[in-house]
Amino acid sequence: MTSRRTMLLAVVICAASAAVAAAPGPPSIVVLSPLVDLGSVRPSVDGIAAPEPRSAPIPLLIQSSSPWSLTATLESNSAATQLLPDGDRIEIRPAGRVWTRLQLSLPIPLASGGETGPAGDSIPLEVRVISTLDSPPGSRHVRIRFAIASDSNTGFADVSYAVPVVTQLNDDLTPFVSPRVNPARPGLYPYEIRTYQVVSNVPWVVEATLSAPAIAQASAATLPQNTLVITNETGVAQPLVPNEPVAIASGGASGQQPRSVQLRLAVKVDDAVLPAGDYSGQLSLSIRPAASSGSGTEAAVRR
Amino acid sequence: MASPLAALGLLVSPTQLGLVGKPGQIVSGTLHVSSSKSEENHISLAISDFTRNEDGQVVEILDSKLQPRSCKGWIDVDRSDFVSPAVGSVDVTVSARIPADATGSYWALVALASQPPARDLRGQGVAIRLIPRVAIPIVVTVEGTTKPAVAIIETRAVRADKGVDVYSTIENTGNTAVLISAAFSLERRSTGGGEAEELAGTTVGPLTSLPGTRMKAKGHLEYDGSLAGVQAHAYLRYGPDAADSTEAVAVIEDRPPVRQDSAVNGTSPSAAHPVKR
Repeated sequence: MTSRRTMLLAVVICAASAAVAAAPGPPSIVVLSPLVDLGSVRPSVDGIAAPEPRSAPIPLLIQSSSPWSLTATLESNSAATQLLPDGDRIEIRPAGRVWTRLQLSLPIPLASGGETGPAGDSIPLEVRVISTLDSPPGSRHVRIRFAIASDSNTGFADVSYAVPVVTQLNDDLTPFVSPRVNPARPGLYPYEIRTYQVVSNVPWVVEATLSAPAIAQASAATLPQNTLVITNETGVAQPLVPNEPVAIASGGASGQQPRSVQLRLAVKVDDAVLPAGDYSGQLSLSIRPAASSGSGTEAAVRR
Repeated sequence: MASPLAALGLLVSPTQLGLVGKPGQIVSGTLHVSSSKSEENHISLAISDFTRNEDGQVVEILDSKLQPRSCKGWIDVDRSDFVSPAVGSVDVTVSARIPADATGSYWALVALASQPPARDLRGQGVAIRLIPRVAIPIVVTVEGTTKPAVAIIETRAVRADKGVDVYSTIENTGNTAVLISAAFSLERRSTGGGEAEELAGTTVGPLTSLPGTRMKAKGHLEYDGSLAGVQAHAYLRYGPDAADSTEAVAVIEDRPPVRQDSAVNGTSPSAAHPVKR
């Protein structure tokens, strides 16, 4: 009996001391740094090591007189929130723990604890954004809602970042060498077809430019104009004139799936005199965002 | 994702490098060069001048005097001849020493070319060897001195297959290189004084626009309804502020676009009216 009374007394004392130590009122969250700017977030591209995603701290202060559980949700109904592109992933974690992807309207549990005392518990969170080529370029503003216990105890952090334009051409620095050409036999003498890979998060165009006239190694003679041509898939030849870019192909944003582009070069021999010799020149290939919203390849179209 | 990219060639990133600094400062950025082909590439770098033509294409300029906003003389690279290893990448630091009196944006081209292999082309007839080259535009902008300004010189809208093609000629009238995002739309005017109804829209860009240059942008708007009372709108945004924008409206023509020359000169009777925003 005595032991039972002692036990009961101990329970009462514990409860009383807990009541004295606990913070009064409902649990609360204070977001100490509610504005987060992650700057430019470059999409990861295969073949180039993606930089470590930049993260930023979001320190929280939680006060609760009872055990608590903290969740985070991407807000969908705030003016500060845009619908996120599929290629963007926003991740959060308590510092040093495993990253967890935030979901739209789906609370993700982040941390839990017991009563905090009047000073509250500091919860150091970190947020980061990972972007892929499936994301169009542009500025983004998203809101993260933190909650404990119920929806009435919430805090918010507004996260901003920008996805830059990414256009990438996988180039090949192996020299183009033409077949031996008989200047007395008119016709097209094709180079080996070369295939390139393009990835881009915007519509793009790939262009080839002959940097300067090709020069004969022995005589320093210049290659006659219009000797080099780019042929499209239907066999139509466009002359490659020094310093005049020729569009090889164009297309819409590739996302993460590379698009193949073929370069078909040829030497064109006609009635014009083609002095004998071995010529050498430089050919630039470049990619840039297209100035047209039209989609699809316009092979070998002079622009 | 395993990518076919890993099986071929050379990668240079980014494809355009922007540097920003104050007058008198040295600013720098990095080009990442990697051989994704399992072989070494001997690469040499050269710096030259360029401009962009109306199609946005990079055109080299051999005489620097013809490029008043050349920064070729300011640019330095930390390596001009190097081997891109079979595995991994090489970082090339591009730095620019900005003169104290510089204002706005300046630009030049860094070109990476493979060094020709010692290969003999001997034989009968003619052979032509072309050394591939990768050209990266470098744009240096002087902080605190920028005056971005873009004008729509003309907008034309022409009925086309399955919709309307809208063409805008844009001029960079400021001193600063900008990225232009263009939006084209078809709108039907409200008869009751309410808001216009947007029938179709598309976006183009972002496009690099250099001071003193003109460029053309084209949008295809898919729409198969009646075009009665419908106008084409071109809207350009070239900076973070709402003021960094301009807009034009054009009536829709039935005939195909006229020659480029007259379009640029604004001689068409249906030339657009720029809208002040």
